Amino acid sequence: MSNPFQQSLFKPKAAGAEASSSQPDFIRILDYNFYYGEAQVLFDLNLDIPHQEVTAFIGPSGCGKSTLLRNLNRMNDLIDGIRHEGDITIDGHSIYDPYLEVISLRKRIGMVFQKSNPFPKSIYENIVYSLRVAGRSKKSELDETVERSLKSAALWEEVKDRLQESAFGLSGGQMQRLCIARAIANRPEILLMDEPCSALDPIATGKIEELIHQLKEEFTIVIVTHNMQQAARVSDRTAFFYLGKLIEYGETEQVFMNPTNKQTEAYVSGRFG
Amino acid sequence: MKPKPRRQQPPIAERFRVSPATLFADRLMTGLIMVGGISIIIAVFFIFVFIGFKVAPLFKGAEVGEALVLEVPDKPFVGFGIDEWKEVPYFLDEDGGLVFVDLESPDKHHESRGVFTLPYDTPPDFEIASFTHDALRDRVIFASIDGRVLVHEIHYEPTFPGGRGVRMIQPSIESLPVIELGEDGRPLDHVSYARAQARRLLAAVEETETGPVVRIATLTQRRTPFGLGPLQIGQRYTLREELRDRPSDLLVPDAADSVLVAYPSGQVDYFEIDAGGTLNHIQTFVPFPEPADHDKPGSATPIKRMEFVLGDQTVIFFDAAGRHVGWNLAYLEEEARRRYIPSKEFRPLPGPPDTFSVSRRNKTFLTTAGDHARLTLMTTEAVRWEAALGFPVRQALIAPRFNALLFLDSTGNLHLKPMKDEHPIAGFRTYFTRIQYEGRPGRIYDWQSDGGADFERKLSMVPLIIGTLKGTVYAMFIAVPVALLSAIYVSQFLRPSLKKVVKPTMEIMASLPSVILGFFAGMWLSPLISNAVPSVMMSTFGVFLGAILMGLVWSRLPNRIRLSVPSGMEFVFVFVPAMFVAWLGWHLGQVVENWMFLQYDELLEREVGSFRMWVVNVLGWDFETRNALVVGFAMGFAVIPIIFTISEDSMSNVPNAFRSGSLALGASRWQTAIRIVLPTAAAGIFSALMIGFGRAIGETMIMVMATGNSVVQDFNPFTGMRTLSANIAVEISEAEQNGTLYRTLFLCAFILFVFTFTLNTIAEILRQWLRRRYRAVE
Ligand SMILES: Nc1ncnc2c1ncn2[C@@H]1O[C@H](COP(=O)(O)OP(=O)(O)OP(=O)(O)O)[C@@H](O)[C@H]1O
Ligand SMILES: [Mg+2]
Repeated sequence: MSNPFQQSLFKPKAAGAEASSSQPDFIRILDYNFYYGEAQVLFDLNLDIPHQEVTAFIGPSGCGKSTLLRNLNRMNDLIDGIRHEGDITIDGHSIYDPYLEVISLRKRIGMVFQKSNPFPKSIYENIVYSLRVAGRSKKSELDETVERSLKSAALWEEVKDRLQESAFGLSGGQMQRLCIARAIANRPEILLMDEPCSALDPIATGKIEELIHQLKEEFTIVIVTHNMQQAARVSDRTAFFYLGKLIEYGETEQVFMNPTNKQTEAYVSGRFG
Repeated sequence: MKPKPRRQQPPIAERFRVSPATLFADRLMTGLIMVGGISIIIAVFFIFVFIGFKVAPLFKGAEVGEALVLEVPDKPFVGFGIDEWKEVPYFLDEDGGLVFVDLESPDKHHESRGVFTLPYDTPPDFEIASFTHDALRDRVIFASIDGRVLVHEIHYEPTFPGGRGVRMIQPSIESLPVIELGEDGRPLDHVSYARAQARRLLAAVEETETGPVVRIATLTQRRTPFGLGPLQIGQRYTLREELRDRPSDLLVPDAADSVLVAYPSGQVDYFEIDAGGTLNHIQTFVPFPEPADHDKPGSATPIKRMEFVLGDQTVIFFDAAGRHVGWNLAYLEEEARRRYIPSKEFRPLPGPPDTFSVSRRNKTFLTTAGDHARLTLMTTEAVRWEAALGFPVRQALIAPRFNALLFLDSTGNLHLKPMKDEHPIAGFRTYFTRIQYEGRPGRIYDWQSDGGADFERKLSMVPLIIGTLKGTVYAMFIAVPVALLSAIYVSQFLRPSLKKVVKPTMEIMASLPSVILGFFAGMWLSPLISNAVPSVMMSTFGVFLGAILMGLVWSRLPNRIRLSVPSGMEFVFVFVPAMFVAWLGWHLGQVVENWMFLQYDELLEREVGSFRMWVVNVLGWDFETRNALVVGFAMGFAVIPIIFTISEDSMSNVPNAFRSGSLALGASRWQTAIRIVLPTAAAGIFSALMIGFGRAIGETMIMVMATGNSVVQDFNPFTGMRTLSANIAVEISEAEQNGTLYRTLFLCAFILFVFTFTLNTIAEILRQWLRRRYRAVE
């Protein structure tokens, strides 16, 4: 049986097509309301995220950034009593399509969590996990994936001699990079990162930011961050949320240099709460 | 020297001070917790030591104390006996005369009687040709030169001559009327007498003109309105042609229904009087087919002595070299009768057996060879005590109450050695080795704790251990898959709102008293299951198969239907078909039973579908109503909630970050459960299994009520079992404090304790290893 979503959504790009400009509404969030039980957390969001660009979500704590991010790959489905109104589409197809298999959606959206969460397995097994659950277990393919992903995540040189050791032996920054390597191992189209650097020192942060720059070539990246400099450094577009509402959204430069909204200005200049 | 000035501590600001109350509470609680923890360790240790102390005496031999040496007349006595109070022994001289000795020293109440005799009531014309002494029953049987027999029984009675509680043991001799056993009026030899209730049997060898014959006679005594009539000869038998040779010995068992005849060649003939009163030759056997001296192969060894031990089921044969073996009566299924089979082989004595004495309380016997004395338990061939006495023993005796050993030396001294042997039948062999019991054809493990003194108690731990394992295995067999799968389901798949209902329900189930489960299992479940085994099987496996099939169907369903079911509610789609399959299986089971398991019912006189009869007739297995299947189901109910709750907890406690990490990588819920949750929760799941196992192994009430408590040693699902714990519960009321059974039950507890202790230790080591392996980041 074929899944219409699988066929149409992530079709290989036509050769030579200028992706970033061709698909400014790669991810669309339409009149989106979201509730945890009775409590509404997201209000009337309308937002287009372009293909192969880095979009940053900023806003004060508790404003719903993570919630929105987690809705993009329907990770919130795990929570009891959630409800939403409106729609989210990726490449024109609703992620709430009843025909859609959530697993295939998640296979194509990598996610890096706020707190690094390597599995209690070896470094190698952590990376190849997404391949294994997809039923791929050819040694050469796995080896190749491990090397490629770790190199992409700038971790290869540090761990190449200890791939079979437990991932828990890594430092916090290494773990976070391992999680990034794990998220991109199966070559997803979209990469969601929820404050990937919140627990890292400046050097590790720098490495990851560099990484985001490189990954942009391949992935559509959505990143949540509290670090204004970081948002300014890595993102092409920035969305500012406040109390579950989208206050301002635009080119990063514009949002930071020339915000149209008072609250945005206050927040980005650090005068906020 | 000047004291070093103490450095002045800068004062601490008030708000940084710790209040004395906080410090006190902290120290108090630390102390209390420490005391509590240590006392638990001590308590467990103490229990272990306590049980150990209760059990230890079972593995001790007999303790024989220093001899009290008493002077008795110095004559070559041929036998002796003593009363229960060990006060007035009698000695039998070479002519059959009786000499009593009052061992009580004289006191102010009565003078010592010293050495005295009691006359036999013997007719004047009764000239003694030979006599035998039955020490076990204190009988002296005289045979005359003209074929007559006279049986004397020595009785002791406590009397209180001066009143005021002063006891004196008064011996008396009861003589039976003279019986004319011989038919030719010739001298008799090897006279033997036995009495079982109203039945009596006399046997002797008569020296006729044509050679020796064995005369056997039953004695009857008619009951008349005026009391018992005179003792008369009922049936006479003569063995003449049947004899192989001149008999060297005769033996009549207490049951008074058979005669053993031994020949100088070493052969033994066994004759039995059947219910119709006919004397039949049953078998000939050779107790010592091998000569004692291996240099001279060939002929069998002659029998020096043959004697019964208590109960008269086992004969012990001695040869001149000191070898001794036991043969006991056993019912042989294939021959449909009882005959003697070789049963015991004892460690040889250092020399020819001089004396032999049997206990009246148990199956031990005392033998001496030269100055070497040995007390042996016949049942297990175990030596309870042995020693070199330092003097040649002329006669030896086990005191009637089994509390002393008496030895008569050749210089007129009686050595009375107090003995303490509270558990003569206990010992390693009793509990852990196969034993040839009387009446049984082979060496077996068995448990059968009750019976009289002459009954061999069967106290093997092996069937109980097997029963315990069997019960546990069946319980775990049913409980583990159900509990683990449901724990995975509830923790990983079920809707959280429903989980809030399921979890407490299971916890309540865990606290259900097992007596209720046992009651239901015994009263309701066992007849239900036993009468419908195919239905039960088909329903149970049907549900499993149905669930798997449903899963297959589910995954092939169009997305529209599949995805319209809210996540976590899919169980409805398995539950309903599963119920249907269970129902279908139940009815199909009856169809299958009527089709495949047709058996002829003798009562109904027609063929009926009966799985139960099929198991018995075709498989040849036993079938009990309260069987291992029932136990499996009932124990499942006891064990499932425990395994479920603990493993569910440990799976729910797997950090959510792992689960979402896995799901975000495109793993299905099942893959997440198997690849991430299970390994991470492995230590907890393992604990759950071990605790469930511990519960199953120690579970008592269900075992008592849901099984027939029959001693079973196989893993047949259609028979019950007797577990160590159930055994304790069942037998506790029979066990007299500090008796053998009482301590044996402690041994059961001890084994159970060691069992769980070892298992838990191994489990803990494994658990620690699992925990280290799959430790989550802190
Ligand atoms: N599982 C949940 N159940 C109920 N309410 C939730 C849940 N998760 C988050 N919320 C609420 O939703 C709101 C948005 O939370 P969210 O985690 O999206 O904020 P955030 O913007 O990511 O904040 P931070 O920057 O601190 O991570 C908060 O008020 C929070 O309390
Ligand atoms: Mg957040």
